[in-house]
Amino acid sequence: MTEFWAMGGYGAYVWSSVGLSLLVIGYNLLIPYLRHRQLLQSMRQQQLEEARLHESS
Amino acid sequence: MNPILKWLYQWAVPHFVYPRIQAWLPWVGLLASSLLLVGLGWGLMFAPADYQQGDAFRIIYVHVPAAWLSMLVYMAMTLMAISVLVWRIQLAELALIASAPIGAAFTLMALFTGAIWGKPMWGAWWVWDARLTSELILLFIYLGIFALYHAIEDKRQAAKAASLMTVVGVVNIPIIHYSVIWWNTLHQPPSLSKLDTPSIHPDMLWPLLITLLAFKLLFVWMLLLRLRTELVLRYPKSAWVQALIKPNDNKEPKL
Repeated sequence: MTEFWAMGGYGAYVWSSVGLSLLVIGYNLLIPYLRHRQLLQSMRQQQLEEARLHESS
Repeated sequence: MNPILKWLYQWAVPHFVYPRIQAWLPWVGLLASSLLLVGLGWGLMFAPADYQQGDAFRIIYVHVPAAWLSMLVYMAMTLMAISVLVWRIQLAELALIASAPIGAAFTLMALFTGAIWGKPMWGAWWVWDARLTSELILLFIYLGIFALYHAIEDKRQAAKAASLMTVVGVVNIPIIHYSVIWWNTLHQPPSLSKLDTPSIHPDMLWPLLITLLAFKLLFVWMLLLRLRTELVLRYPKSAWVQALIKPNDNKEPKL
C-alpha cells in the first residue's frame, strides 16, 4: 500500500495533481449548488416580506 | 409547424427546461462521479507504469481529460454563441455564460497538472512554448468572456457581446490543437487524436477513455447546476419562478 502512495518516487507529483483536480471539480459543483439554494431562499424571503407589507398596509 | 422543429423549440422554453434540469441532475451526477471513480481508480492503481516515465505518467488521467475538455467546452460555447447571434435563443445565452467559468476551470486544471507533470519530466514547471502559451491564452479568453458579460448592464446586449468574443476567440482552438505539430516543443504529441491507431497501449488507454467520458459528464453536471441559477435570474418575475419560491405550503419546497 505504501508502494501505491509512493508512485515510484513520483508520489508528490501524482497526488498533488490528482488532489488539486478533484478540488477544482468539487468547487465547481459545490459553489453553484449553494448559490442556487441561496438565491431561491433570498427570493422566498423577499416575497414573504412583501406579502407582510401588503397585509399591514 | 414541422413536428421536429416543434419538438426542438420546446427546449428553448424556460419552464419546460427547468424541471427537466432538476430531474436529470441526480442521474448525471451519479453517472459522472461513478465513472470518475472507476476511471481514476483503474488508471492510478491497475494501469501498468510507463516504461519511460514510470508512475509519473499517471498524471495523464487528469491532465488529458482536463485539457481535452478545456477545448471541447469552448467548441460547445461557440455553437451556443452562434445560436445567440443568429437565432437570438435566450437559453443559449444562459448556457454560454454558465459554461465560461467551467471552461476556465478545466483550462486551469490542464495548466497546473501540466506544470506538475512538466517538473519531473522536463525539469521545468513552465516553458513559453506554443502549446502552453496558447492554452494560457485560452484561460484569458474564458475570463474575458465572463468579465465582458458581467460588465454590461443589459443582459441581452451583454450576451451578444460575449457571443461575439467567443466566436472571435475560437481561432485559438486549432492553434492549441496543432501547436505540438506546427512548432518545436517539449510537449509530447497527442496520444489520442488518431483513435484508430492510438499511440498508447490499451491497458493505459481504457482508463483514459473512461476518465474522458467522466469529465464530459462532469461538464454537463456543472453546466446544469449553473444553468438553473441563470434561468431563475433571467426570469425572476415569471409564473414558474414564482411557483418555485412560493412560501405558503407546509413542506419545504424543492430546491
